[in-house]
Amino acid sequence: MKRNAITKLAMCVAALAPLFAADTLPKAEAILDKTIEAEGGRAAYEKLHSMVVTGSMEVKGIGIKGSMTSYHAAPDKMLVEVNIQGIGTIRDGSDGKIAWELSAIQGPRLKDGDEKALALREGDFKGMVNWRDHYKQVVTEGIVKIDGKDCYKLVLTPNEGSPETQYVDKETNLPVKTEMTLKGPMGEIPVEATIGDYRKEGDLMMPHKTIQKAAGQEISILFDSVKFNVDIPKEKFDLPEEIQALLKKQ
Amino acid sequence: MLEWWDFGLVMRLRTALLISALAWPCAGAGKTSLTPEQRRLNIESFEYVWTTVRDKHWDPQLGGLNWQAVHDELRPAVESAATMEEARAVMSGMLARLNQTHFGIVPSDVFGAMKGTGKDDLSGENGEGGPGMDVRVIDGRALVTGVAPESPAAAAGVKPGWEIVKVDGKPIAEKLRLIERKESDSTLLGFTLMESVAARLAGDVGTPVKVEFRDGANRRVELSLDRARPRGMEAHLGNLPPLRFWVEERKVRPDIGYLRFNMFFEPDALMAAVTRIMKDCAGCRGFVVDLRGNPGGIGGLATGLAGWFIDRAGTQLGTMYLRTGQVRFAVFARPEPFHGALAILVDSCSASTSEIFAGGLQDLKRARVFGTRTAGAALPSMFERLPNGDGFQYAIANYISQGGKKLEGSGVMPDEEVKLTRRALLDGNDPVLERALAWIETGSN
Repeated sequence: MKRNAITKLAMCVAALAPLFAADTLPKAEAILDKTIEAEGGRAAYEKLHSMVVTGSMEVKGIGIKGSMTSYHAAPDKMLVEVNIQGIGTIRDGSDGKIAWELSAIQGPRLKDGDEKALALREGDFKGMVNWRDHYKQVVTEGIVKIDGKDCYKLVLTPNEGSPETQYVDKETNLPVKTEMTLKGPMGEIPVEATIGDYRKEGDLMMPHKTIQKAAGQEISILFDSVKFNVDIPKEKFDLPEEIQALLKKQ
Repeated sequence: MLEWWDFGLVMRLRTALLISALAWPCAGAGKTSLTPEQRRLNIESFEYVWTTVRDKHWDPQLGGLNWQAVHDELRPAVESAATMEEARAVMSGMLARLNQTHFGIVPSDVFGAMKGTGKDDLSGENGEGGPGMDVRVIDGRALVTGVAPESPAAAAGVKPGWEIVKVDGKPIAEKLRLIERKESDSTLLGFTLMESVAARLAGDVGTPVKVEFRDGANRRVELSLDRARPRGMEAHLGNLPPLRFWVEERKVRPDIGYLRFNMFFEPDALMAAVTRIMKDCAGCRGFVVDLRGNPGGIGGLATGLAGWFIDRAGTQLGTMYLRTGQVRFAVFARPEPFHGALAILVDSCSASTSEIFAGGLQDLKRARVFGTRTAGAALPSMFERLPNGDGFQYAIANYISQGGKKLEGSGVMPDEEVKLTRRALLDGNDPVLERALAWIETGSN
């Protein structure tokens, strides 16, 4: 009888555990602010007006490799150029208003809807420093283990688009993984990106390795150089002719 | 960035290898026994192949096939395989149980000889040379359907319509009959027959092949033809062996454009050719895309090319169904797409990306398809290297065309079936192209 009572009590306590956990979890807002600090702090971000990142990418298993360079300029300009042997060049850009892609395979296209919203968020030079401008709701959902480490699981609901799940290392406060569903012309495609190999670049901690899994493919992206406050020619972010032609057609 | 890889050409390569092994086993082909390390790598490769199918096939039930039982049955066979050929046969046999295209093993010796040798990959010792003839088996006869410009066959005066009777002294007809009996129910029959002849003609660049023809007057003509480097530029993509790519674009009539390319690779070169002909053909009434003999390639190029002919946002050619979700083959209209009539030419050797392109535009009623039924081999696939060095191709998704048709195993049925004949070839006619041109000129409205 006594044993039954203890078991029952244990079950009740176990059932209550998530509530306690939820109560004791830090607010997502606080975690995101700590993340900014862990990355170097707002002051460090404020000193920057541009960034150029170079690296390489590889599709796992099938030997498809390429090089990439991304250009970023405050407040909201971004251009990513990927060159893959046998595939050609893929350029992806946004300027705060227009998001586009120009690929050797598919030609030019303008992004729309959720896909555009995501591209514009990613094009914000201050990125997560400005998270309050981009997300209408952020919630801490719990603590999960990723690669043996406790991580906060945050669900971020953007002003436009589908929620994103972000995992932040409890100890370092640095993001280690994101999950989202990309909604675009190709459908709704779940994408998972594991982020790691943080290194200090200037005053900031920057991830140098991302492994992205989507649609049965695994793509690893390695950054080998990060340069801040580079003078990027303004024309670099000009819309390509083909994109301008699409805009004219609209 | 999302891309998908279709690699129909690998299927073609593998088919050729299988055919050559089945139909014309090489005399004295070396079968060396295995070292303990090779044995271990073969077992590891077997497990990799088995696990990949288990974990990545779009249908977790594998159509009701008891995959574990297949493993348990065949694992002892790979463990006891005494040669690479035996081990490979076990793995190929395991994949054959799926009864689907785009699953296969490419032997390392062939694969390795073509890639990573440090030599000029297409200069010899790789079996990629040929006399420069397109071949189809029509009514049981191996006929020359095209002769590459400036090829040894062209220099020797070989003409379309000539029948290939013997290769290196060995008659062809009986082998073709054997394949026809075995593959009579398969949409891949035409493809397999073509490859069976092409594989026999292929060999190291610079080596001769003795071919006995029957010419237009049914006279016996015996020629020794040097095998030359295949036509086109060298193309590289990932783990695939180097390939040869060519594209030709021209006007076949003052107001009709024409595009033909041997496979869906080299996006820059292909799209540059398309851009040129589209510019030249801005006011044309019609356009022909000739996909006869095109085995496929990069899947995304089907939609990329379709973007030149579609002017409607939100259009798709079809959907691929992965285990983890779906990906639409979305078409992005070019700023100035072509609005005139579109004819697509296909035959039994049009496979994979060719079928996705032709089937999708047919479903969308944007194109009229001419020729004969396609190969019915349209599964998006990947190509990896196994621990033992062999290549491993596996399909990652099922593909359903926009009209709801499963292309795998059924192919694209032309709107107008037009067959090549020996007589037409000998007369220098192309009845498939002619029917398409007639449709554009008279009936396309």
